[in-house]
Amino acid sequence: MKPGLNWGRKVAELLEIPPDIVLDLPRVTIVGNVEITVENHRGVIEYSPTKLRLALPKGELLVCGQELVLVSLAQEEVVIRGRINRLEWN
Amino acid sequence: MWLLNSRFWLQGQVSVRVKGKESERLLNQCLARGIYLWDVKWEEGKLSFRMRSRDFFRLRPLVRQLKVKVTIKEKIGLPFFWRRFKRRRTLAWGGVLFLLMLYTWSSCIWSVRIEGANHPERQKQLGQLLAGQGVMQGVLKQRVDLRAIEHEVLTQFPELAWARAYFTGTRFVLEVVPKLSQPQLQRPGHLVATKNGLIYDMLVLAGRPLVEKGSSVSAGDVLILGEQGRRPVPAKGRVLARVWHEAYLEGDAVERHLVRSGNSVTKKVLRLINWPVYIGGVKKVPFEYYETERERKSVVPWRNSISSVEVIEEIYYELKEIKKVIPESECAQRLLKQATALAKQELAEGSKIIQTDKKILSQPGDIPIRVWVRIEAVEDIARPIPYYPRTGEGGIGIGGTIGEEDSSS
Repeated sequence: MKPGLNWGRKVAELLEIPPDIVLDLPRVTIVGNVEITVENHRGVIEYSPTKLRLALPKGELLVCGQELVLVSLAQEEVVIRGRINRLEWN
Repeated sequence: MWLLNSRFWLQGQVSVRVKGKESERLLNQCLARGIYLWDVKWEEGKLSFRMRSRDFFRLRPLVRQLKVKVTIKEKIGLPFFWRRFKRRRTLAWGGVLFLLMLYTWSSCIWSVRIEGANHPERQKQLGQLLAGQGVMQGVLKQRVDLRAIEHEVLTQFPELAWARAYFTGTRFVLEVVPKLSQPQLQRPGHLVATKNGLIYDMLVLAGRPLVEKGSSVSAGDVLILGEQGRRPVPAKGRVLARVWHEAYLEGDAVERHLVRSGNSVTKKVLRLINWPVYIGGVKKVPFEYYETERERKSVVPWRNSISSVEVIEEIYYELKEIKKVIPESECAQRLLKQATALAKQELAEGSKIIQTDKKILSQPGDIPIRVWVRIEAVEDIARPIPYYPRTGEGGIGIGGTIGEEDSSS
């Protein structure tokens, strides 16, 4: 891990600021296996009914499941609905 | 999400289907340009999504660049709806007219009802009062001042204890309650029955009751004797009795009315100040039944005020009698209705109808048709009469002698 990131995390912890704001991390909200909301994403890399790859500021998020639907697709956030089986950070 | 998308319903949205290899890239390009997409899904191997209709044209450069094919699947929303609507203008106007009519008609009075006044005469008077206050069919509800009507009713009818006017939907209802208390005796006196009946309930406040619940009384009977111990007092109390009002009617199943036959004659009269001078037309009306219409023609038309010289044209229309045979059952129903109204006329103020018996007495085919109606009602039959009837002041001498004996002893 880079020293800058470490620093940032320490500052965030010290000041009790949510790390996603300081560190430019995505905020992922999961509702059961039904819905996922990803804030601060960088676009869709691949999309099919069973597989969705989302670009993140660093790396990507892989969502696997059935009947995946992008209920809302905006610059700030993506809302994914369907039956979600697996989540993976790459 | 639904709430959010309903906003786009107002702005107009399109459902779009994308065909081509690089469909996902289109999504990213849209994101980069700030084009909001929703309901992105795969349908039959093709990507489909929804977007705002005004964003659709921003899609064109992207489509060229990425070599994908975009087709509109559906146009949803108010602007499209409106466009379709504009083409069917008559329908639109019909809808608007319908709403307008519904609104205006529902803000009018459609029927007037008076409750609590059993007596037909009272009902009629109240009806006239309401008409005078501008409460009738077709009047705007706004124009009616309910409080003022209540006030007016109570001032015009001092015998009413309470009045309330209100609307239920398009119906105007006036509820009244008559004062129940009888003019109480100040001097010693009895309460006597005004009608034949069966005592239903009684409340004695002063005096000695001579009848009890269930006893039958005839008009003139003393109900409560004005006596407490041996001392004469004004009898007070309420005596409710079941009374019966009957009505009998008979009539033919033939309806007669007069209509204009089409024949008419005219008579012209010149009026000089006060002398009518015959100038033309017939002198005597040759018809047995006729209707008259009078038309005044001023000889000096530029003078609008009552001129001293004018021509009066009288037109007489002959009337002939038309007989219409109406079905027997209908006739019987009509007679029953009339008879009921007749029986109701005898009802006292504040009486309560318990039962109404209606009977057609005649056999089918009989002429005339005879009907009979009996109304059973509970009413206050007590009427005060003075103990010592003075000369010249009505009142039957019931108990008068007893009282004198009592006072002398």
